[in-house]
Amino acid sequence: MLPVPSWLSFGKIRAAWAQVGSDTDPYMLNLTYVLDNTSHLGQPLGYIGQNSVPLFNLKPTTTTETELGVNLEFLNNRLGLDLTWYRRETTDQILSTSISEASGFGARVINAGALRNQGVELLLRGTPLQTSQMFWNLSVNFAKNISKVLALAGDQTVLVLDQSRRQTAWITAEVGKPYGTIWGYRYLRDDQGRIVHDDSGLPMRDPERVVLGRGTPDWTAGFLSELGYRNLNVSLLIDVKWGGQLFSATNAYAYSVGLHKNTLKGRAECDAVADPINGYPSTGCMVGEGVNQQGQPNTVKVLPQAYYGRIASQIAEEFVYDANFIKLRELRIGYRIPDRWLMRTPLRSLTVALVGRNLAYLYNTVPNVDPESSYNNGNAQGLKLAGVPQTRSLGLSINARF
Amino acid sequence: MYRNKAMNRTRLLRWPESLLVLLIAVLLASCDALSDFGDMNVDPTQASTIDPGMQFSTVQLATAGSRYETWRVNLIYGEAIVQHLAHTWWAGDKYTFNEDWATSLWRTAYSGAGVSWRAAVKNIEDLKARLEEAKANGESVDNLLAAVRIWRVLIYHRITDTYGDTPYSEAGKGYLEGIFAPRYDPQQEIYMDMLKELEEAVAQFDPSQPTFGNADLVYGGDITKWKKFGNALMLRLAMRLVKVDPATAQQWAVRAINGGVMESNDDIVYMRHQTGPSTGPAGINTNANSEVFAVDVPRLSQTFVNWLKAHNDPRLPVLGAVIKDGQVITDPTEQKGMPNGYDANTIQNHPSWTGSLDDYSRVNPLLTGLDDPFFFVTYAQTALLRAEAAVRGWTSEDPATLYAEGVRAAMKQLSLYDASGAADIDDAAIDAYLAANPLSSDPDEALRQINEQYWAATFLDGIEAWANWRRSGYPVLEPAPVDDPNPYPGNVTNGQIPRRLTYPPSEGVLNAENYQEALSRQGLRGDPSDMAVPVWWDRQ
Repeated sequence: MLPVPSWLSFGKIRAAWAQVGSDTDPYMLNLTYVLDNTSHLGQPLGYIGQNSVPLFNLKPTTTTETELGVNLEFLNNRLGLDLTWYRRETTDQILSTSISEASGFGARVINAGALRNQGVELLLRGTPLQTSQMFWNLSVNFAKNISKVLALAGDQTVLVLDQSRRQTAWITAEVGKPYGTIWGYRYLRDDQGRIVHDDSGLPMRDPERVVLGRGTPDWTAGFLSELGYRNLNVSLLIDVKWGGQLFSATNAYAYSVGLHKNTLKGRAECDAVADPINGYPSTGCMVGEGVNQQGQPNTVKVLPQAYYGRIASQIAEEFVYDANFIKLRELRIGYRIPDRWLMRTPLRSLTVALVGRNLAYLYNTVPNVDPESSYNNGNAQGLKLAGVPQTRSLGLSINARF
Repeated sequence: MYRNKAMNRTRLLRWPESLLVLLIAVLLASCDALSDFGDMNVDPTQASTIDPGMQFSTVQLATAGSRYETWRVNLIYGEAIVQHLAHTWWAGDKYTFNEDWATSLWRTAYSGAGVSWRAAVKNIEDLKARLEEAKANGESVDNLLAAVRIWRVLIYHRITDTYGDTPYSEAGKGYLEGIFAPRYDPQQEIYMDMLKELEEAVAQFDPSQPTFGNADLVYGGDITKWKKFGNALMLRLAMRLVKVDPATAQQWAVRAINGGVMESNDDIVYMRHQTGPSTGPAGINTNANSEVFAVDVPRLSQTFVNWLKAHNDPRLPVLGAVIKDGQVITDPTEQKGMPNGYDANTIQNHPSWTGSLDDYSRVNPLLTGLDDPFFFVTYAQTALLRAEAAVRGWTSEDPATLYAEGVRAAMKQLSLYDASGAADIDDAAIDAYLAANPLSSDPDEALRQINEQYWAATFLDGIEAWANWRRSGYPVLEPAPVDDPNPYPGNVTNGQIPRRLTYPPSEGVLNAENYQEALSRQGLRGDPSDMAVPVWWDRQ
């Protein structure tokens, strides 16, 4: 028996190794034809209906994971620590990658290279207060995942996972970088960082696409506080997500139609010369801040809709935001009906609670949109467009035991 | 209770170990049978192969188009650029750029984006490959293959005329050959190959072999008509080259005419449509232009209406109509065209404005039925091109006769729009028109007249009208906004009439090497201003 200090009430060390294969949707191996329901002039119609090139010798995805962890409890289980380190390697992922439409198809199914995810997960629990009438539990969980694309299929270095509808930003997997980087266009700037405008007075973009951010967060955390006094129980849950970025096409569309706050810049000059019937003069009224292609300050007058429309349709950099948030996820106030009131009833216990979920963002770096709304449900995180925000719900819950 | 369980447990362990090992070995061995999946990977709800006729019918319909790409490229850009139609919000007569609209034909034709993945290129390449394989196996598919090769040229020439250098030899082969990033063939190579394909295909037809029959929605499998179609298309492609390579143009034009081109309106290549059941933006049964007119009301262009009026053209009452207060007015004196290049605000400053957009003529309801035909290559176009070849001295035919034939055919073909005869133009009217507008003996004037008639004969085929305008220079169009020296704000061509549409920018990501090569080869920048850069055959 190992000698342990008295304040260590429980300790466990664990280690695991696992390897699994995973599959995908059926019928992805062969080319098939659609027999159309409609005919034309009495003739039946049929055609290739797939948009994804099937792969005849598709292999299953193999995931190998090593995990080490330790569970510790201190001070008679008043304080607990759960720490896990994991390292997961996935090879032969079954991915759909976009290909040139001129091939006849928009995508193809492939087994792609290798991806490594490693990280830590930490759970810290404590009960700072515990008496016969009151208790207070606190727990904090923290997770940090570092992903790295080790290899892609063949000698490919970039795999496009998804594309924004604005066709200015893409989510990619690039060898040597974390999975799911946001890649897109930025402004064309001169040596001094000023935006270059073309002869029509509209901002230009740098033809070279660059990494603008990462779709997946650096770390996530949660905080749970539960306070109980006799039959009353109040619990609070806060979620934190930190360190990723996202590209918001919603904000881009808001620029195109002039609904975004940033599009007010320059409109004062235009409003001053607006005609009540014809609106802004068609020859332009605002001047974009920056230089022209010769390096001189830009003086060409343009219409705000043309200026902001150009930014919205050409520049991704403007719409990439840090996606950090702290959210009040749940607040629950519960009351357990005293047992003596239930003695004449068949109920063993009855608890009534007010529950509110998704109550508020305590801190949010993304303007105008809900950072948790989603654009797709695939592996490519980081693009947002017209997502329905999460609903805030307030409710009453009754829990009865017989 | 507990004691019995313990006894059962030990009983199992009493089995001889060798028997247990044998049991496990048998189980493991049977796992091997799992490697043969039999029919498990065959999707029972889809077909693994289809009759070539079905695929050919579908490709023909896909080429006639659906509302999605037809609205954007044929109408919003094509018809507005060439000043057949005008509309307050269309980009084509303001020379502004909309990426979704400009790239729609390219994306739809190659991969079927926007039309339920029912792509013309993907399916024609698949069909051609399967027929070539069948031929190699000794099957009698020459007529099918020849028709497919001609139709393939029809599909590709519309794409390359609109976009310039484009994937051709490696296109549509994502599944067939695993080419996921095809090369952009130079337009010159594409044209030379297309002409060669047409020549070989026309020679390939064999009356003793079976044809597509009724699966061929255009000709019902008639080989004689297919040969004439192949040569007519050859003549069209040859004439495209008059600016860039007149010698080659002459060579192929003469070859086509000698091979036998269309002889009457019975030879017109057109698609008959139905009113349904597949309708809407990806609809396949309906006339794509009409699908647009059901939801959008462009007006006839002032340029076009004034030209028709100036010559007392009997087509005006059939092509256009003013619809006001529920009344359909076709009287030419009441019709008025809308000037190109104006939006809902600026049109009110134009002298022609009389208070309402409804005062301008719109497309006559006779031409907007969902079951109205769509014309690909017509006898009128062919006769007019033959007239041009004669004017240029390439043949010894009489240009005036051919010109008259072409004009008559263009007017007569309108009767195909309405079975009851409401769209007919009677012979007396045509005779009067031809008497008043004979072909000039001056060659330049004759070319102008011929190509203005070609322009009128391609009403509602914006892609072809635009291509012929670019290669011939006629009719002479004033850049929009017409009657206004100031270009439209936000235009991307420096106020000039566009000469091409642009590639989808996704190509720069997904096909980067070939895309960049195509851009630098053609002097393009990969941005909207490329719309002003002429394609290969459009340069002197």
